[in-house]
Amino acid sequence: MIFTDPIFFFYFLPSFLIVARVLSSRPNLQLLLRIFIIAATLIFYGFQNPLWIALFAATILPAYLFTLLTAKTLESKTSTIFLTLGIAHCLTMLMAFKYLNWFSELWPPLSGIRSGLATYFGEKGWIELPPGISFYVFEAISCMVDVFRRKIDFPRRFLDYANFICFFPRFIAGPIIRYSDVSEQLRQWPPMNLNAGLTLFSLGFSLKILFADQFAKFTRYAFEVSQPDFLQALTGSVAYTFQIYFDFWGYSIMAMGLGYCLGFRFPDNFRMPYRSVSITDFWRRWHITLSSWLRDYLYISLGGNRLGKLRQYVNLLITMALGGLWHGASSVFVLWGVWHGVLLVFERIVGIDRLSEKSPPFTRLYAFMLVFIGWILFRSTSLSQAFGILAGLFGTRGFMSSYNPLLIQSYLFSATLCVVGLVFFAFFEPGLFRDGGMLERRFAVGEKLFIYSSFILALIVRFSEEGVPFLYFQF
Amino acid sequence: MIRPSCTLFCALLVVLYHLGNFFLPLTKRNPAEAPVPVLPRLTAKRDLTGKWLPHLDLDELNLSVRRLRSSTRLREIGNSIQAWFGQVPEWIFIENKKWTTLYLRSDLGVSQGAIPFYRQSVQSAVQSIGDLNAKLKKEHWKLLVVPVPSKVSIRRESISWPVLELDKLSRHPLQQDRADEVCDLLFAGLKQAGVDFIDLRPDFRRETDRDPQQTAIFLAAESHWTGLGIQIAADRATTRLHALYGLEVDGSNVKMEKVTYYCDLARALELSPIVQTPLSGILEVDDRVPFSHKEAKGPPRSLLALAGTSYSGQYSWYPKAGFAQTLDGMLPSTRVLSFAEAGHGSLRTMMTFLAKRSEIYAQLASYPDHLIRPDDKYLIWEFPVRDLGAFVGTVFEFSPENDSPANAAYPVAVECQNGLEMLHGKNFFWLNNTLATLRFRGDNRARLLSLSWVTHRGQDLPVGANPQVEFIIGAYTQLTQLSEGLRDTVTIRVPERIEELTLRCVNPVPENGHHAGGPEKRILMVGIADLKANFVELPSQ
Repeated sequence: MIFTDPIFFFYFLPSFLIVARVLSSRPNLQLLLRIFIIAATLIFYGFQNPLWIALFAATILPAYLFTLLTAKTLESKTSTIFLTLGIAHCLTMLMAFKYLNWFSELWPPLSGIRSGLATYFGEKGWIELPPGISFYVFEAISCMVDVFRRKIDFPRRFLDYANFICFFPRFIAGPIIRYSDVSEQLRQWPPMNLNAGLTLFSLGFSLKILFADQFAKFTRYAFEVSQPDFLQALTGSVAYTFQIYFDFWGYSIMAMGLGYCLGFRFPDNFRMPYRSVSITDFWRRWHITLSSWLRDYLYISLGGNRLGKLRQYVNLLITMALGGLWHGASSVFVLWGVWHGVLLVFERIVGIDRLSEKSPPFTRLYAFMLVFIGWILFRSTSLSQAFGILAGLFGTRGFMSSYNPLLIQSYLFSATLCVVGLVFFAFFEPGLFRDGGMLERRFAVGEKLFIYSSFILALIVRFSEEGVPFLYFQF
Repeated sequence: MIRPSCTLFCALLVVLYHLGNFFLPLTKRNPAEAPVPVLPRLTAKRDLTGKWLPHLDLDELNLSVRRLRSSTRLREIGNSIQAWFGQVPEWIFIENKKWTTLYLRSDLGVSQGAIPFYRQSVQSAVQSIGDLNAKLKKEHWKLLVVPVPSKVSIRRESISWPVLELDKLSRHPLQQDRADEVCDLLFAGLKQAGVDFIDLRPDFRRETDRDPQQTAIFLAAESHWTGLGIQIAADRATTRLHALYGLEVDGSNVKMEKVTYYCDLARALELSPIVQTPLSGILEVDDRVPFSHKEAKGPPRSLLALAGTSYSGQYSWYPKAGFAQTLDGMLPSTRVLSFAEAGHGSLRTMMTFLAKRSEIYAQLASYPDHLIRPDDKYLIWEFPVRDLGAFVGTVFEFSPENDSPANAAYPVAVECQNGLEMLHGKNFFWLNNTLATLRFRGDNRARLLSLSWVTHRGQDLPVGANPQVEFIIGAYTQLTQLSEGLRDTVTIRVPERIEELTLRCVNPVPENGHHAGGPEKRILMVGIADLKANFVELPSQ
């Protein structure tokens, strides 16, 4: 089930919120509420394939056990063994279901295991990526490591741990939260905040349907043409740059909104990333929960910047390459990660402060252009395709030698919405962060009415189109 | 001052949505009582003995939600807003931006002329059809190929060239229509391979030139034939069969009658009646269509099978219209069996015909010797020229024993009463309060019988109270809600030793309502689309 699915927002969500509201009205029903949220998450998750629930259990129950054992043996060296086993278990599950297709192509003897798993978790001999596995595995690992590092008290009640992991608003595509983000809220269960939560949900839904899905129609100019000219390459890659932003940002706001309906405050996942003044700044604003996870659990574990400059650069490259690989089993994702790693190293060498001295328009343009090039790599199916689009952007195939405006003419409504999206990005996006994070934002009456109107329009558009799956569901 | 509350707003939306599913008015295009609840979709698979067959088909579930009245209204409004902006589905293009005639973009492929792709396609098609013809001849079938020229190639003078629509991403302007090069190549190849064919282009062009402002041969908003197109094609085909084999032809049995037609785009792109769009005027047209008034005068002396695409399926939802029925009407002493099927390309119906040959032979063998002689078997294969690419790499399975194996799912109906596609050139049964009987191949094993049906309600035909489909198997009776508009499926457990299933519609229209055969041709059609039986191994006693 996905958030833009009519079955979700006309059947699942209202039923869920009504029951949750009833159960949250009395403190003595809190246990039931907690169990209900877990059950709802499992229904939400297993709707498409009930076996995914079994896979989730097979991943998380041993992870909890290893976390428990790590916590129990913290005073001895055995804890390291349990931690290692726990991480190995989680990563094995991730490898098996996310990367086995790729590995079996590189090393054919693995194809037998792949076909076996595909019987239940895929079709035609290929494994279908179970949604959310990249996210709940990372959350389980972060809890395990935080226990080991004594940053958190171990969630002794399994229900706390289950509520931390098994929470449908952010189950499929994040934000990736840590146990420390919610431990206090799990102890003192917060009151529901339906108004603010649903307002955020409506806003996120509108961003996804009215902007992201409309930009998606024009990415084909760059990515479905064998030799795009300048205008084709530019239209397609700009469309993708804004599609992925509005898609993932919209999803994150919807997830935050749904969490807030139940009273839970999730950290912001985006803070105007395309207004970054450097790549370093970009990674503080884009998919914040993933980048901070990579920093805390990978980069720092590799030694971070404690082992000298050279080692720091190597660590950065490794972290970003693995961050790229996390997005999918493909060499272009790794190269996208390496691209960002190289840029981060470059900024370390040049000195980020020197970049900040330049005027903001220049630094913003610098960061945006490099991120933009990165997205071309990210979206391409091969390196040669990416180079083909870049060649088009550099004008080697002419300005508009083969550009055909008919696609835009055929999608005039979508094109109009894209223009509105760009206007929104240019003039209204900063206003959303006026009060700090999205959860702190207090919407005026006029803004609320605007959001409701947008939501109704988005609903109408959603029903009249097939719908584009959230991009981050595939990661 | 009232402060806007998102909780209230969302609650109101949800309540309105669900109320709308009950109370929103039905429209002409969606006149059926759409299913309100979703949950029955989860438990719809129940066998005759009342035993639940747990089943959750997500596609079915999503379709159910799409069919709800509120969903339909929201979709219609969304489509209308987009159409108002001039946004139309990518698979069509508009003649000179005048919104009077729509074309299929896929027609433009063949307009490129004899480019290497079409040369290879023609070569493959000629080889496949030539091989097939040789094999069919051994079983005494006489094949006549009817390639349908593209609408663009027939109306090319009315289009402003060059057109850019071949590829909406890149600029590949087509300077002119060169589809004739492909047709000429195809016909030359077929001639060389000794395959009989008819070339419809001269007749179609002559008719179009007579009044270029009218679409004449093709419907304005789609690429299918009008009634006139059907009549010309049937006339040319029967004339050719008469010239080649002396088949008796009598055109007096076919009369043109007026019908109202909602074009394919109206179904694919449902528009709201309350929003006027540039498309609104061309989606509903009045057409004159050939209807067969043939009355059986003695037993048939020859058999004509028709394998075809949606061109043959066009108008076949009327009891006696369509290409197959027109052929049937024009051939007084010939029985026409239609395997035509829309939406599955050019090859599938030929495959179906080939797979059913043994059934046809079994049926012929049951007739007295003098009715249909082995030599009097004809086969017409209609396919659009734009689909030639489908022939590349195609090999037709051809053996007398090519039915599906006995333990697999396979068609079970070998004989039906009250109008089955095999007997009356239809893809559909007619279940207007009349009984239809399906007879199965004898087998002592129990079966799970899957029936998928689609329904089509004629314009303004009122809905009866609680319309249902009734299945009668032995002592069991099962009633299932007749939900209309889209495909519906029921799975029935047929006990062993049962060889007959009877089904009928109950209350499809009000008692005083019109139905099939009425002067206004207002009809309810229940078409069994897939009929399959899976054998079930019974536990040993």
